[in-house]
Amino acid sequence: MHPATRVLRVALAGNPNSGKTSVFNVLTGLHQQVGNWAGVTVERKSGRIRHGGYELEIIDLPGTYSLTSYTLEERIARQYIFDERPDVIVNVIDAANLERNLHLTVQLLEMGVDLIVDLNMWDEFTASRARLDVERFGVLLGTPVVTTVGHRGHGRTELLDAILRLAEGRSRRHRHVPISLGTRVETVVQQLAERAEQLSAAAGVPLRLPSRYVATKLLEGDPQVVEHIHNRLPALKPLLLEADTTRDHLRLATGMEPARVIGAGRHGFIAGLLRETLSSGPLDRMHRSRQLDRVLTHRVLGLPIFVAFMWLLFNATFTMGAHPAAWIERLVALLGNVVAGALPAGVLRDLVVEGVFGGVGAVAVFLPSIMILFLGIALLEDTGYMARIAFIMDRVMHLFGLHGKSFIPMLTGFGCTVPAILATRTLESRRDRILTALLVPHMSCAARLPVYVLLAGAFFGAQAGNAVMAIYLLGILVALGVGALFSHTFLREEQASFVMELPPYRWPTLRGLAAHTWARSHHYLKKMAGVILIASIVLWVLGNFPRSSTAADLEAHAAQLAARGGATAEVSKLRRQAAAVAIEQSVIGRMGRAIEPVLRPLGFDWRMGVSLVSGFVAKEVVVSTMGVLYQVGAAGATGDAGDGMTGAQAGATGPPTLREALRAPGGGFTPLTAAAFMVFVLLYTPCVASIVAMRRELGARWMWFDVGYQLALAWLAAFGVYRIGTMLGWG
Amino acid sequence: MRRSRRWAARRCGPGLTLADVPPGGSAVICELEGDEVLQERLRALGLREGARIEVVKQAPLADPREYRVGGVHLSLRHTEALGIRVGGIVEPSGPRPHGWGWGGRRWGRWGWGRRGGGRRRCGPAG
Repeated sequence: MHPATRVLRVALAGNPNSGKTSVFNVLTGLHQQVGNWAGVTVERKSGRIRHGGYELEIIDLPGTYSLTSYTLEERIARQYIFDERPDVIVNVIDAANLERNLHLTVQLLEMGVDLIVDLNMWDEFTASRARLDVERFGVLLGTPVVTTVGHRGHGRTELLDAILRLAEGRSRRHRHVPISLGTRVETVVQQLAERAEQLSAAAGVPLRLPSRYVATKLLEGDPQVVEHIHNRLPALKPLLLEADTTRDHLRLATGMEPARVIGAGRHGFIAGLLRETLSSGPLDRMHRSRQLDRVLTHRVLGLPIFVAFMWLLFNATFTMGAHPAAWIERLVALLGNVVAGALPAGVLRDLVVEGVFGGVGAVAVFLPSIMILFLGIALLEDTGYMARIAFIMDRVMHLFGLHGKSFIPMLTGFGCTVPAILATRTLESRRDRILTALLVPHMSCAARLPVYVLLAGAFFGAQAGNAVMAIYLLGILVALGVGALFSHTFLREEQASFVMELPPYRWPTLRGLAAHTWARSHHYLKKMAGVILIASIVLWVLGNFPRSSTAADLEAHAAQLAARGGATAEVSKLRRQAAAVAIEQSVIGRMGRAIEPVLRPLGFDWRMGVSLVSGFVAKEVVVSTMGVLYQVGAAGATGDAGDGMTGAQAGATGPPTLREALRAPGGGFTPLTAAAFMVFVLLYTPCVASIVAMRRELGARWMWFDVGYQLALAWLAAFGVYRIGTMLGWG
Repeated sequence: MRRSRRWAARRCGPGLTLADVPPGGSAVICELEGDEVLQERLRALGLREGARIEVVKQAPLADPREYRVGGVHLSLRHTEALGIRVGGIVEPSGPRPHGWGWGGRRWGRWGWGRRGGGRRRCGPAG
């Protein structure tokens, strides 16, 4: 008997905005893990701590108002309680909002679980004139009751002690009180419950659920419980029939749906409980929030204030994040050089330096921005402003078929698609998450800007700025169209309603912000780093293999020439040729060639194809690949023209800029193909990291769909631009 | 509770919904209609028959509106408000806190429309 080895599983249940998360943070500190509930993208947070010789595994169930099977969160919470049977469930209640919060408590009690009621935000309650007879409250509910102030960390030990007492069976308060649902319902519930017990006893299968709970749920017509009986307890099938008859009787007798009669019964129980224990003074906790909302959601001022906040967040994420990102980049480069010095020249060194360190760099460079963004989101959520953003922006986002809260991911998408897809976690319904994640890539990310700047600068002259602007607008318009299309076709079914609580504003706590930011960033690093690293190594290999002998010859020739003190221009020309041949002969180069027939209708040649294929790594790579592929040919031309010059002069003149090279007659680019190319870059898959993020958030099926539809859309749009342009004679 | 419910049932106007209540005003819920999932959600939040609901304000772009039931503030879209039948509408008293109806003087204190003019309450706004 070593109590130290015993693990207690504790689940936290409660309404959204009940301070459940702050209680969880207080209990676990920074020892938390963020993951997903099996198969769905609802955040699953857990943490392990030691207390009183026990190891406590604490699970934060999704915040729910009720325990029906209607929403995903409710199904998850209920499933966990059914299947995992946690030792103790702590029901976190917003003490200032007892009546609504007790709705969930009653349903938990019906499930017959070992419950502790935690009256949270107790400071706000005691500050009001309302008084609660906590003793009697606990007696009537039949549960231990503790009071906590989650965001201050008060009541942690009391709560933990109560958990241990309940788990050890030492709690004097603990007894299962039947929730009376009113005489009429009560009799039929009892009948059904007895029948359920008889049937299960006769068949010799344990019910595993309180019979009373089964009876109530059958009367309510709960599809999950019905299904449970169908699939796992076939012996109880006669019960379903009886339940149906009883439901009809009840419906006739009361003139209401049985579910509503039972709901009213629960409400009656709560009202009775509060009448006996709560002496209510006026409790207007929303007073200060209302004052704040006079300005923050003001009819006229609300929008500009909101825009200012977003501007701040956006700038903080991508400007402030740029400095640490640059340091990290330099650090990685430095380490890369050190390693490069230590390794002998060859394939292995190239792989480590360019592949591994390039890959690590790609992940690490995102990190500061992502942490700042997560901090910003935690701030918005913890203060309560997030709900106001949804309130203000819902009308606009509704045009996309989305929810007001989708605004944050969409805006973030202009910076970087990866954190934007991760930010879709703040959305409650899965349908909104999917649709938002599908639309986010059309918000043109910062990495695509260099491509636009290059091409627009080369082909649109004075109109370059307008061209780039038009591309951004096109992205938004496409998102609008696609959003409307998807939400009227296959994402129509779970059109989420916009019933959303506007919680009171609160001061965020350092602890809460740190815990949220850390847990999410940690999750990001752990889940993304490995995959992106592998992906960048694979792409490096594809871009460098098979090794071309011609390229090696050219390179060797260049080295010889340099050793003999040959003309610098000649040497660099040879080097560029070598690089171009190497990439042309590599797998990526061959893929570019192979897809040339597909891209031909868009007016693209194989070099554009290669650039687009390499753009799967990241969009910046498009520009560098073009640099390699285009400058070489054009450089040859200028090299020939400059034969008479001395080496020094040629070196000073240098190779032509990439812009000039693209404009050169042999470049294959016209203003029209440039426009089509920009449209293609805007619309096709942003980068391998975004694909990974998509897979992490929504699963492989949606990832493939995403990649497929983006490629199809990009091709069609670029085709449209090119063909219509040709018809109008712009080609 | 019981009294207010009976009273509400008596006063439940024909075809009046929550969308007809102007900002600053309040009404008693007499029936939730439509989607059952939505109904369940609304009841869990405290929107049950017989409860008095106050329209706090509308969003800058007019559509979702903020409501208060008991101590809970929540936001509902126009389409959802249309599914909640109400009675016993109380118009905002005195100078309206924000002076903006659902229809009529839409553009606010400094905008178009005459002071005190416009319709006080209008039917389902488009």
